[in-house]
Amino acid sequence: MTAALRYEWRRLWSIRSTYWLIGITFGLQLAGTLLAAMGTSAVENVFDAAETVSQIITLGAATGLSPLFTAYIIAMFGVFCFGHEYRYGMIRATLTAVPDRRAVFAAKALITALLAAVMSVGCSLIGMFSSLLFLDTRGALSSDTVWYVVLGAALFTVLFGLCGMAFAALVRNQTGALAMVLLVPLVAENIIALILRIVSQDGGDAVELAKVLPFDAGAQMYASSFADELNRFLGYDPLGAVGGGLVFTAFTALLVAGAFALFLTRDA
Amino acid sequence: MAVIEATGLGKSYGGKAAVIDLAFRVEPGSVTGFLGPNGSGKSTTMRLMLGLDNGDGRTTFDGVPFRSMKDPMRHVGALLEAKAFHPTRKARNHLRLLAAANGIPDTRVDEVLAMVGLHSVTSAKPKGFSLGMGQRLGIAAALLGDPHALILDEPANGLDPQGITWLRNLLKQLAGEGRSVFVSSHLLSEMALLADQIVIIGRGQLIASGAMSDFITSNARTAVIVRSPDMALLGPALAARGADAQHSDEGAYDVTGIEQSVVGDLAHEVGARLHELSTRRATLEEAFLDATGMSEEFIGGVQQRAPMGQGSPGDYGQQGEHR
Repeated sequence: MTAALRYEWRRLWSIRSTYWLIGITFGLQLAGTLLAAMGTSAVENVFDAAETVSQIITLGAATGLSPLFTAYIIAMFGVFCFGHEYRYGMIRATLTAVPDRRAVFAAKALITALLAAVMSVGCSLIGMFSSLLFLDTRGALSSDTVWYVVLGAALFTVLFGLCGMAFAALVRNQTGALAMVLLVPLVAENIIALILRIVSQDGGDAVELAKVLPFDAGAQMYASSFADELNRFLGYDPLGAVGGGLVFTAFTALLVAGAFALFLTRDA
Repeated sequence: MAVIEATGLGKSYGGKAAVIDLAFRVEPGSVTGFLGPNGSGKSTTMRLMLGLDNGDGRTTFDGVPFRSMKDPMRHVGALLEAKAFHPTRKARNHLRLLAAANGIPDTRVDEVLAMVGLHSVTSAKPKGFSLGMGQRLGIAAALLGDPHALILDEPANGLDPQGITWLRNLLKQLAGEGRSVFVSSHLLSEMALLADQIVIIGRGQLIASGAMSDFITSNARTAVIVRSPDMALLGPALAARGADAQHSDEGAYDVTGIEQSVVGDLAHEVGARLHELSTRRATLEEAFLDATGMSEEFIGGVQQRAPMGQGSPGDYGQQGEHR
């Protein structure tokens, strides 16, 4: 396992895409959160500050109205860890250097998860820094609300990164995996949710199924109370951070397990 | 030293057999050429040997399967395809990546890059590499762990004539140091100069294996060339010894089933004058084409192409070699 980890660690830091992805993620997060903080009116109390900081560090994703932008960029690390192997024919070189496929897969999953967690927390810290520059949000830093959002966003990003990795391992095509990372949560889930709402217009409860759509459910991990109200308005009670997190975790686990099983049995 | 032993290798794609119950042995201290027509299953066999493809059979290196090895690149070096690298990862970093997984010190990276003639492009991105440079980088990766055994799939592809000579000398040197070198190539003339042993497959099945010289000598195209104005005397004497004499196009006779020296003795005994007495040995190409049943396909192809004025038998090295 250590051989596979050494290999994966060097693989990660010996290609340019790692550096530009990190730069883009942190750069856009800094620019976005600075603009968001500048555009926010003064906070009145600690509760208001906690809500404000939560919205700034997630660039509005905590409202449930927009996706967690940084998670989509960070998920590319997951896609690239297998995508590059297949795009450039490196997989055979990899498996002749480390023939233990279980170890190769586990190392990629571990490093993807670790990187996603560190980068997500880094993005949250950047958001806090931006808030402090323009707003009196020092009190919010001791609020559980903010730290739950930080934790939730990190868990969501880790799971999203693993989904990206699993997509790439399943389809063995980098472009296809990138498309899936964008289209499944942003397009497919919204179309399904819309269909469920239409079906439920005559009083049915099919719309309740929308709350178990995995990426939407996972977003509950960093959602604020505003997002809860939005979901109720759309016709269903959300699962909450724990329930939503469990649904997204189960989905990710299934996806990763499928990718793992195929990685072990397919020809390289 | 590593004996490579493959037994019962088999692989099917969609119910169609690509490799069928293949077994062979590669001995240390030799270069073993792996020959077969296009699509005969050479690359699939090599991937099976390294556990990259799932199939039947087992390959061991001194009794150990590749997938069970710790630090496998220290035991087996492999080159399976050209340009198997990330285009923007520098050549040195590509090798360091492989070295890291096998506990190989980074200093070895520069050694092998120098060994394959890439010392001037260690910090270059391989996206600009030619096919030949890509092959050299692949060979450097195979040599990285100073392995006991090498498995190389078409390593001469893309190399220029100087590169091919360099590769031949390198592989012979490595074999001379006691390593097992298993190398596939479609360049038969090059293989004739390189390999001591051969494994030949066709349609996924073993056709021949053993010493290169035995394979060529046993080919039917090896014959004694006899040119004599007294064949009326010599012919019956040859027939009495069990030899078969066939009149060739050039007015000479191709005599098989008898040694050149015996023909000379017989001519002396019966008083036949000899204007030519030589042995024509089959080339590896001829022996290979006969063994794989490709001679007729080849001839058919030439006959079809001939009216268009394209190609000739000579293009394919079909001429017999007179010695």
